[in-house]
Formats: sequence, structure tokens, C-alpha cells
Amino acid sequence: MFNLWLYHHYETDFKYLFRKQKADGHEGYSVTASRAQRLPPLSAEEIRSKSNMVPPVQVSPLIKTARWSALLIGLIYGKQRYDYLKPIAAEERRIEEEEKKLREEQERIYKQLSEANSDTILK
Amino acid sequence: MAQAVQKLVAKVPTLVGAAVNYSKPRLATFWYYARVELVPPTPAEIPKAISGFQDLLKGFQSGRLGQTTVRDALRNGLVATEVLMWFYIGEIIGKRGLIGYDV
Repeated sequence: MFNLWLYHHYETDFKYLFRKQKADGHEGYSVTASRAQRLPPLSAEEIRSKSNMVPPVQVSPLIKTARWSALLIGLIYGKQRYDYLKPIAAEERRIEEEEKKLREEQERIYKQLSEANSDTILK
Repeated sequence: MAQAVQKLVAKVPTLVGAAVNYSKPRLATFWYYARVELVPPTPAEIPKAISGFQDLLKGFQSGRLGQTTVRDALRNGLVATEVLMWFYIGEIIGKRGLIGYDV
């Protein structure tokens, strides 16, 4: 299913990346792009015939149905769980906001009290 | 610095062209295999799948599955893992996020 791509058709000569290529008068970098343009691109059939690619395998119907039904069930499960978790998270955020407000109110009161108590003439 | 950036930007269309040239036959190869191996089952194949599953159950009940070689068992385990991964891919698509639920 995952076929190896032919890397070696476009041989990258890395030293060309750092030296000026005198033959073409190109600059040093981006030589790989110009080399890839000068070499004719391999067609799909050439790639398949040059590498040892087997013809596509006939997958059994049981595996096919299992795969695609697993995809469908996963889709439905993901959607339902998201719909279940979303209101819970919104509720938690609301509660957090309220508690934060309460806490900040208390901290403010505490700070005011401590400032009032620590008012001395020595400051 | 600005000149180097300008030269790079001027080379972008050639790079894009080279990338398209490189990827077109490989995409064609991928499509050639995907059209046979990755298609969903036709409605005619579903009864065959059900009967295949029933054969599996019968084999499990009769104890035939205990006779599989380790090599076959490993191969079947790999296939089952691949089927399980499709479930997780479906879940990723359903929750519209790659990692975790974005609530």
C-alpha cells in the first residue's frame, strides 16, 4: 500500500549547493530545482516498471468493510463525544470565572485590611 | 539581504513547477494502487464480508484458529491494527482536531 518512491533518479550532488556551477552559469543554491527541470520527469508507468512494484492486491471484502465501517464508527464516536464534552467544558469555564471573581474580591478585601492594619507612623 | 530574498522569491515559481513535475507521476502511482486497494466495499461485497466474518467466528468456535502459525497470527494482528487505526482516523475527523477535543 505504501510504495517506495524513487529518490535516486534525481541524484542530488550536495557539493553543487555550495559552489558555483560553471557549466550553466547558475548560482550555487537552488541547483536541485534546475537539475530536476533538466532531467525528464519519469512517468508513472516508468516508475512502476523500474522499481519492483507488484500489481495492486485485491483486498478481501471482510477487510474492506471492516476498515470503512471502522472509519464511519470513529467519525460518529468523535462527533458524539465532542458534542458531549463541549457543554461540560463551557460549564466548567463559567464556574471557574465565578470562583475567580470571588477570590479576587476576597483578595482585595484582605489587601485593604492588611494595609489599614499596617498603617504606622514608622513608614 | 533584500537582494537574496528577492532572488529567492523569483525562484519560487520554478520550485513550484519542479515540485509539481516531481509529484505528478507519484500521485498517479498512488492513485493507481488506491483505486483498487482503498476503495470502500460495493453493496455486492457486503454479504461476502458478513459470511467471511461468520467463517471467522466458526473457526474460533471450532478451535481452528488455535492452529494458525505464529507468522500468520502476526500478519493478521497487523491487519487488525490497521483496521483499528482507521477508527482513530475517523475519530480525528469527527472531533475536527488532531490532538484532543477542542472544547
